[in-house]
Amino acid sequence: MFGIFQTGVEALTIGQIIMIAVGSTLIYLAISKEMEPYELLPIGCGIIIGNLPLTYMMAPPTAEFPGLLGIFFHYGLFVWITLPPIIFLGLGAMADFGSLLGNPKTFLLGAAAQAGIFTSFLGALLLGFTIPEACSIGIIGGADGPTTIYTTALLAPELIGINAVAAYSYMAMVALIQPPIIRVLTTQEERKIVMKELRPVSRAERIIFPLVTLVFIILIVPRAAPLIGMFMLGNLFKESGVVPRLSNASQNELMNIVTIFLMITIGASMSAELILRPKTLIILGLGLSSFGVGTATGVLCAKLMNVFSKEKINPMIGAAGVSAVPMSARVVQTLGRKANPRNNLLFHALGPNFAGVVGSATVAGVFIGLVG
Amino acid sequence: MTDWNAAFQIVITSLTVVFTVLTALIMIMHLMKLLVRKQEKMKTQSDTSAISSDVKTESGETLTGEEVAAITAAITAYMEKPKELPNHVVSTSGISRWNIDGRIDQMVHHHKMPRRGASSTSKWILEARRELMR
Repeated sequence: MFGIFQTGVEALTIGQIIMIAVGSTLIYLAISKEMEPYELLPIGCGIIIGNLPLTYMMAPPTAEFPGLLGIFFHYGLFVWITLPPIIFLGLGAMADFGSLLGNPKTFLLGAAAQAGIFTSFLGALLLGFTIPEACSIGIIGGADGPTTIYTTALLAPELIGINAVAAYSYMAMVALIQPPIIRVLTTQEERKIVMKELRPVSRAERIIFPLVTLVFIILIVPRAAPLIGMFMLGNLFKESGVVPRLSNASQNELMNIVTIFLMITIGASMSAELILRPKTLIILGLGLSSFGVGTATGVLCAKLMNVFSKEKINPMIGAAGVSAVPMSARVVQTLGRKANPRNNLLFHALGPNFAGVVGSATVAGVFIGLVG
Repeated sequence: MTDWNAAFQIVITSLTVVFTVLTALIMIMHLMKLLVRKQEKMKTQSDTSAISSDVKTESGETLTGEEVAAITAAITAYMEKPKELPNHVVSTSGISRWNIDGRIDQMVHHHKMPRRGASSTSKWILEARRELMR
């Protein structure tokens, strides 16, 4: 005797219709506006698939009928949390630390820009979130998708969908969020500052740097090992020059495959019951504020460094400490050119950009070590 | 109820760790830069000292690079200068003595052609020197 054939139509709820509309909006933004398409397109598709009723796509492996995306979510994010560190391997293979090595003091700008994490952490606590939830919301201010996903998966897995969407959406909107803040905090004269060309960096330095950074940070913050370790490993693949296939695979095939699984899974985890709550709007607001505060503190730190330093730096590069690589560096380049057409700030801004990645991964390690 | 003590502890610890770690990395990078520069300087020095312009003759006499350059210039000037050649040297090939082939002829008959190696070159230079002083 067969069961009654049930279509999804009668099981569709208003909440699911709204989420399908949200997923469609993300797909539209990804395709039409080209806003972080590699992330928002699969997330949007995942939202649609995850909110269509009776698919059981997100059923965990322990269920009677495990779902495809439920298996990815369970093993990739919930139990083993392997996917974000693998993305960091690819990011490390694409990173170029030459700009940072050429001007090491820009590391401080990367550290200063992490202040946004702490303001939204405290803001989240004030608004009633628990400490683990506040840590995962705060880390959105690091403007680093894999770090946000990794931290949230460990500390507050129920927020993983909204935190990831917030992080990637604000990263895509960096060109809208940062310029007004930068203009308010800097004068026209400061924006015109031309920075001296960076010194050439030897191959030996490029090879030693990821090794030293990896050992040093992991000794101090052991829980940052999955992120920092994979990031520096990827960079070493690239800088050594002796494993081109590994470097290419990390940057291309591996990164692309993992992006597909991770983003679809995150999208599918955004069910209507989890997302359509007042908490979601609060998280989106806190995420936005952390981006803004991070931009402001990065710029202010650069201005403070100019007070003590003989060699002036253009304070706008402090905004690139918000580690949305390379979007925030491009924003700084555009603003720099507008102020002074002779100015070429992109390479200088990439220094604090990468420093921000290292800084946010370190903060995540501390959060996980203290709270996890 | 939020545990604000724990919250501030987290904030202060995280800020301290991040700034300490990144400041330490700045110092490490400066140290790396100095070490690599020192290593490159040492490599450049050892590379240049291996090539000496001094020439040692078979008799033990050492000629500096400047002396060798001066002698070579003098020889070149001497070879360029038109002069009477002894009859037994004149080639019957009909090539003008002042073209390159003529000069090679003279070199072959007047002097032994230098083989590769410092000793034969230095011997040739000494002979040329003696020729000049006549």
